[in-house]
Parts: sequence; C-alpha cells; structure tokens
Amino acid sequence: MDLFLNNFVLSQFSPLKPIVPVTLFEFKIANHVVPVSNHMLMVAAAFVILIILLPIAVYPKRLAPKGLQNLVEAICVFLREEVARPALHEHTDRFIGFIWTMFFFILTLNLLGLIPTEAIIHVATGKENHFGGPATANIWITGGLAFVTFIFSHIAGIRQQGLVHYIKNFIPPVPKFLIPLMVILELVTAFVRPFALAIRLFANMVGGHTIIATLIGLILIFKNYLIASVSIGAIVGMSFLELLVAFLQAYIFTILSTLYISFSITPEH
Amino acid sequence: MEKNKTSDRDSNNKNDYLKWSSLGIEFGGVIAVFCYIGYKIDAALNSSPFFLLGGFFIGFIGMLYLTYKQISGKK
Repeated sequence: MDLFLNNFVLSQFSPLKPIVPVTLFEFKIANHVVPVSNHMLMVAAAFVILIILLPIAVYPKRLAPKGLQNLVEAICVFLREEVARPALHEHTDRFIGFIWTMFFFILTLNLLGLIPTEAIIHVATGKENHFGGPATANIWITGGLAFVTFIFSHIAGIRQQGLVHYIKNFIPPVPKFLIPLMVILELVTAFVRPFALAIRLFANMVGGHTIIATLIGLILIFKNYLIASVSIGAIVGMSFLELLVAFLQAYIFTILSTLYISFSITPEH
Repeated sequence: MEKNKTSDRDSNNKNDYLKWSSLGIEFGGVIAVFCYIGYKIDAALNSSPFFLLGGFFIGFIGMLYLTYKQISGKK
C-alpha cells in the first residue's frame, strides 16, 4: 500500500496518459516528415488484428458455427437484420460490408484501448513508454471515421439517385422564398451529422478514462485505506462499464452511419 | 399474408425510431452553427448581440420548420 501512497504506481500509470497522442517515431516520404503516434499505432494494430482474426474466425464455413465463428456470425446477423434492414430495406446487402467493417473496426479500437498496454510494458521492462491507448479517444481518428461515413453516404446517394435528383431531393418541398434558407439549413445539417458522430464516440471514450483517473485521484488526495478500497471497487465497476461502452459506442456509430446512408439513398422529401 | 403485413409494419416503426434518434444533436448543432456565424458577424460589425440572437432564432425556427416538413412528409 505504501507503494500506492507514495504516488509511485498510481501516478506512473495515470489512465489519462494513454488518451494523449504522443509521437513515437517519424519517417520521411518525399521530403515530408510523417510522425507516427501511439494512436496511429493502435489503428494499425486493430487493422492487423482484424485482417488476421476475422478470416480465421469465419473459415472453414460450418452449418452450425461455434466459438469465435459463432460470435462473429451472431454479431453480423444482428447488424444485418436489426440495424441495416429496417433502414436500408432492399439495399441492405449492398451496404452491409461497410456497416460490418465500421462496427468491427471501432469495436476493436475501443477494446484495444481498454488494455493497459503501456503499463504492462512498463512493469515488464521498467521503462516508461507510450505504446497503447484508446485511438477512439482521439478526435482526429473519430473525425476520420465520421468523414468516411460522410463521403460514403453522399456517394451512395448520388449513385443511387443521380446527381441532379440528389440535389433536387436535398431539401423538402417548401415555398420558393424559403428555398435559400432550407438549402443552408440542410447543408449545415449534413455537416453537423458527421461532427456529432465524431464527438459522441470521442467524448464517451475520453469520459470513461477521465472518471477512472478521477477515482484514482481520490486515493492520492485522501491517502486513506477506506477511500482507497471504495475507489478501487468503483474503478473495477467503471472498467466493466467501459467494456459496455466499447460495444455500445461501436453499435451507435454503426446504427447512425446506416441511418445517414438510408437518408441519402432514399429520397425522403 | 397477415404475418407479412405485421412484419412490414414493425420494420417501418423501427425505421422511424432510427430516423429521429439523432434529431436532438442535429437540432443543437445547427443552432450552434448559426449562433457562431451571428457571433462572428457581431464581432466584425460591433453589433453584439443582435446577429447572435438572429442566428439562434433562424436556426431554431428553421430546424423546427424542417422537422415539421419531414414529419408531415412521412404521413
């Protein structure tokens, strides 16, 4: 306990540390220096994990899947039948690949963020490092994901309806004098949607780590066994809640992306 | 046949629920954007807080009208 009270372990392994992007190394491409941060590394790790794990999970094809294959199939079927089909109807199968990809990618990033990689490496090697962290607690990464959804949904809408019809259907039928205002409103709404997607995911992931850091902070402030026990219990509880949030936020991002695609491909006005 | 009708109805209800689930954020976001534009104009013309308030009301009333049109269009 003295180790904790001396602020050694707790301050060394602050849960807020992984949230901050840190440049790990740099490389040059055509005289441009490209920095690679801990969050970029986690994105690459999620990509590698998915590209290896998912083919292993789904092959060989079985009539009655079990284990990981069962889990992946259950998630895929749920997303197709309960998320995509009610919104996309007959277009479901055209877009389901994108929806599945988004869900599994965000879920993997969220779950990787829950593993205290840098603390594990620190304990093992005794050296301070920045390998790890929740990539979805970085606004640029959630913004990038939302930007992909934004571009994808509008391209899908233009391909489905044609450019002229897509622009015509962009605003609802209103009196002529209101058309300029409606165009501005719809344009702003179109940009607000991906912004809301990015902020929601980012804020939820940062929020969880901030609460855990605050609970750890209580131990440092009070330096009291009773407070420490309550805090550690609360931290364990919050960590389980974080696990739920990892799934929930991936689900919400996916459901809203599906919704925006459905807005684009089916003229509602 | 009756079963199919029920499943279509359920499917439409689900779609409606999805459609309105993000309305609040869109509403707030649009008002925030118009307020920001109003704030910037106020700062440039030294007319605080008239354009900011104007931006708020344009965003609020506009989004209310847009939502009304979308709902009435669905009926």
